[in-house]
Amino acid sequence: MEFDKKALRLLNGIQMVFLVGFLNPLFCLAVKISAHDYGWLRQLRANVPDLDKFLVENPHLDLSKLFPNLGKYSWHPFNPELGSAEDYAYMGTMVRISVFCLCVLLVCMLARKPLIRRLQPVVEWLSRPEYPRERKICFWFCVMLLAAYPLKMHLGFWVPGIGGWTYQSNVPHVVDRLPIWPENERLRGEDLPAYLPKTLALENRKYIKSEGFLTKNAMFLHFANGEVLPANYELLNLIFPRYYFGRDYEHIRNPEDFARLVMNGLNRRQKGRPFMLPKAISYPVHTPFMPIDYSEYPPVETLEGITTWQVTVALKSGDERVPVVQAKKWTDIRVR
Amino acid sequence: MSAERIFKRVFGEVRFIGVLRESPPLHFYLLQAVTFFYMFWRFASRDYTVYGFLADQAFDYPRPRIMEVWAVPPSHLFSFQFIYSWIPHPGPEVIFFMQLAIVLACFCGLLGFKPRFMAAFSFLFAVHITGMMQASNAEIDGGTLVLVSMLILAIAPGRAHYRSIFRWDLTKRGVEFHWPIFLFMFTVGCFYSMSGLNKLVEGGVMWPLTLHLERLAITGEENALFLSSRFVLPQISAMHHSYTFSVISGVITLTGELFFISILWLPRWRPFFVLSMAGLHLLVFVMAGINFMGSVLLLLLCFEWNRRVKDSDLESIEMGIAHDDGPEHDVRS
Repeated sequence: MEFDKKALRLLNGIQMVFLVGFLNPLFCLAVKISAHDYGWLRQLRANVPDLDKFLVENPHLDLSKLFPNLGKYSWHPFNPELGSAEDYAYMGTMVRISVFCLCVLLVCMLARKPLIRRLQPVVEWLSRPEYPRERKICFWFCVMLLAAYPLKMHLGFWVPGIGGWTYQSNVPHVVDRLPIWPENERLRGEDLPAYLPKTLALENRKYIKSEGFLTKNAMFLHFANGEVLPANYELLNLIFPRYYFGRDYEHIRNPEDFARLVMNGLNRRQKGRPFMLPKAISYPVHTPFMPIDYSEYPPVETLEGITTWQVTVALKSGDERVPVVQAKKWTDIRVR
Repeated sequence: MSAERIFKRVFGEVRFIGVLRESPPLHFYLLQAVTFFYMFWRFASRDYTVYGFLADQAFDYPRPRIMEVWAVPPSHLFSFQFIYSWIPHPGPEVIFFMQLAIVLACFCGLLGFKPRFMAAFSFLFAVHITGMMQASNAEIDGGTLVLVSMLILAIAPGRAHYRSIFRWDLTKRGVEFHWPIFLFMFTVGCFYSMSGLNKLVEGGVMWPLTLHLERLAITGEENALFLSSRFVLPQISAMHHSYTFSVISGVITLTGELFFISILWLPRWRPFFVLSMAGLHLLVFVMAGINFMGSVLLLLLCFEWNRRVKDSDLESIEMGIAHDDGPEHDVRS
């Protein structure tokens, strides 16, 4: 009987956690919808004629000061370039989490007796007289880890599992036709800088079977001696730089901070050490990029600029050459 | 054949690792060594000083996944990021010294010098630096398991840790060597099972059918042509053009993740779960450019290492001390 009571208390605790797990996403969703309704967006567009340009130029604008209701309803920072899309995508996730918690809650309510029977061994385990302190530590530790899931709590040291994603929306980037860009932005033929092909890893050309045009971004470092060499975002040592610098390689926000990170990363890699350990035995970053050997690059003190480009190359079957056919400069950051 | 016999034939012996008993120390010593080594390796390799270059506005939790359902992410409190409401964010030099302190503490802990203190110290600083990452750009950087392992080392009794990496006394027995290992395996089990649950909740039961690794393979091969792309080994991608293979990989991943928690009960199936997750991390690294490879070190600790002590514990058998041979040898039973 005593175990029954304790098991019942445990079950009630589980139900409580799942009840919060059910209600919290719905509440959050309602708040987000209120905050993202189009009223304030219309108001914003009416007040600021060229809104997109305005937001890009003012990346960390505190919109809540301009629009008090936004601050009142939304705790989610507004990210003008990509926040909304991700934000809305996660609304679907929230609904699913809520439905999952509701299902567990219903099972807990409908199958109380069998569940109480199932929970009795846990209670019995917890009530054993040997090692009571150890049992309590184990119990509360396990509760902390388990409760984080329905409550979706990121505890800093504990993340309730890696998210689930698929590659369903991946489409081949090789297209039949040359992408059309505005005439004043694109460079072609002799106008193309000679250094653009340096961003290509030609040894990997043979793995692409289709033919057509492939467009990707590229990044280059410009040195005082006139050398221009390829680089990538691994220099930044961030996992998702887009939240601070905007979409990868495109119109880079906060260019001063970007340049500082690039110089810091380049400086370390030139010494053959991403941080304290030599590169050969270093643990790779969480989101590694294609390997580039920076050890032969000119000294970081001579870095003059960083440019990012959108580059289209032509791929023909049976032809190992990869000519650059057009390019568009995204960003030009002067370091000194 | 009865259902019980079929169950036993398929799943083998059912032995719950959570039965507290006096165990040999080898498994715990390995946990101590591997955890300190892995955290040392991470913090001596990765440059977290970059967070010292970012402006204060960068730390506003822009990643939706970390926010989701909390106005203030619990991470903000547990990683002590709230202190920056009153003091400015540290510069790269301060973060460098934090990292250096973690590296030194992990080295001391690995050697066996004040291991419990070193574990608590490195845990607190590592969580703080992880909090900076979570506040600015991502929810995870592959360090979850090592952080919780370090927490387990910090809350384990001081007498459980080895005091010198060169001298392990394997004749010792004690419950203090057992329950931290139970917590560790529970943590690893939960982490992967929750990942599997996330796939079901976010992607549905048809997740393996919608995984489409063959599409990842094609875009990976295209990306490999440009040095600006995320890391991919096109040689491996070229072997994954089959939708059937993608579905099989998806099924193995989902099964391996979802039921990983059963390593607590089913010793026979541990190799399957450990190897499937190790394979998953390897493929994710070479095909998608996401590095969780260090977790493989911790996955290997999900095997029953104390079984290796058998030949060396003759002395303790003579002394009549209980053994780690399953519940039938539980000192209470």
